[in-house]
Amino acid sequence: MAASIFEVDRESLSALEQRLQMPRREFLQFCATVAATLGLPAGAEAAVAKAVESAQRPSVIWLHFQECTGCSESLLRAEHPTIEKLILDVISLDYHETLMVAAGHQAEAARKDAMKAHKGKYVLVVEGAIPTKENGIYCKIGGHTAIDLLKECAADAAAVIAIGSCASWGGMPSTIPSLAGADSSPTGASGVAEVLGKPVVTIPGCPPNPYNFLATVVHFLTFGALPPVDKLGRPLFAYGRLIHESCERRAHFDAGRFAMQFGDEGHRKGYCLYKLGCKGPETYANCPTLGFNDVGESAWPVACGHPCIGCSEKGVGFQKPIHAVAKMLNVVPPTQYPRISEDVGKGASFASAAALAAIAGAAAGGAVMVAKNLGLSHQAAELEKAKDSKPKAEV
Amino acid sequence: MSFHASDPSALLEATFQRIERERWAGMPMLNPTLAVAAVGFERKENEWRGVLVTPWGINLLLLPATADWARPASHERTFRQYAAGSFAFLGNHEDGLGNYLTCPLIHSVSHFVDQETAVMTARACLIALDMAPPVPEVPPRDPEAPESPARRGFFTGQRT
Repeated sequence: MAASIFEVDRESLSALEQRLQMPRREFLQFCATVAATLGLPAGAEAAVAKAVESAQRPSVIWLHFQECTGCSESLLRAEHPTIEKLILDVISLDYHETLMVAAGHQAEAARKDAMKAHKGKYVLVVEGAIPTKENGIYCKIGGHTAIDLLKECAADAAAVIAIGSCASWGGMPSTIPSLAGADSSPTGASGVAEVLGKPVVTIPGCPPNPYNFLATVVHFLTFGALPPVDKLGRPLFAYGRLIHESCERRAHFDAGRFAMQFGDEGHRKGYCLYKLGCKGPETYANCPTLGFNDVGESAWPVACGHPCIGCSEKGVGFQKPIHAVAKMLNVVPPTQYPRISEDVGKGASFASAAALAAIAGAAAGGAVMVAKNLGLSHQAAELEKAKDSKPKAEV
Repeated sequence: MSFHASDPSALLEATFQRIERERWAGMPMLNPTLAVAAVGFERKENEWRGVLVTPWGINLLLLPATADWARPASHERTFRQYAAGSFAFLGNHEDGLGNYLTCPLIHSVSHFVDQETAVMTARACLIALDMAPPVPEVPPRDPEAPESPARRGFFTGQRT
């Protein structure tokens, strides 16, 4: 469907090959991964390729507040070397304190210039929580508080994206200390939406998967609008399902096989981590189906043997003790499907139950395969390189 | 047992009734009104397909009907294409039952008021598998965004 709207011809792709200095095949695989992450139908990678290839990259202003820069790190230190190239090419990063060369007054001038030049068109990305206690004095850049900077930059932005749990809802800095009488975090750390007083798109996670951020931006490029989100501003393509729904250890849960303590036989055999406090049943994220670092499956906490801590879920991550057993949440289907979860069990109609089956079982996990292929093709390329360089070394 | 020449429903129910007694006793997420039931198992080519209702979830199961049936490694997904879409299955093995593939359909069954509703839902799921899925909404294009110049060229007779 999408392929007929956006055709990708050889000429534009060869121009792109030159610009990105990467083979067309690798580029198209990247687009396929993004399309699969977005849950777009087969063939939509052509639309994604077209959007990425178009010269109109959105200007991005990236603000850092109370955070560890882990979100930026995860984006730039992706295992696959071409991803960072794409990140810097898909978007025009006009202000990013960690990456920019400019410093001091020059840096602030660059921000003002970008805001003026792309007024109403730039995308504002916020990383880190905003301290609100004592009028926000706990975080200042160039003499301005985080609150003032955020409001100033958000005023003329085409879209605001909060990346990471800190910017999404306060995250780790919003944790209440275990001191007698403490009822809020020391700095009053808050999320972007709370400070702006309006909803924004949030990509929570600690760190979030870079593909979820990239896919959100690519959706903006491809469709001219941000993707559909849930009531917390999270894109449904990434946060529409519970981790428990698509976990690769799910078969063990269903067969009643649980690890009872770290290092026991069940833990070594890769059994379900529910009894060790896994928060998968109450955390919405696509970690199991996307994986991290382009190596496909087995590259996320549960696959490494640690229970999910619910880092992307407000009220779970950084708040519930790691050993505490998760609450079993009900399926909340993405809003683009008929809302029927509440009806199930209360005399659900045949049709609504049938629709539920389509939602619940349908392939979560397409993206992980594509991402794995991306990693494998990189591996193959590296092997080729090694082969080529070997005879030279011997001569 | 490497494959099931005849309907595996009875064996499946016996196995999971044992699992319920031995491994799920006292777990808080059990729905006591539900019981283990194998629903609608039918042979599809070289495998048995059906839904397993348990007091802790409703899953789509595939069991081997022939000896050449391949099971993926534990923790690895394998995909089956049905009319409703592509479905991800996980490989599993249980002593006395052998290898099988499982795809979670409904993971919290606390809302089911009786066994009949659960079984009916399981049957509906099996029917839904062979029907086209509901069409997801296509996000509307920004009306401000310019049309593709190449398409405009087509209408005005220009060749780009």
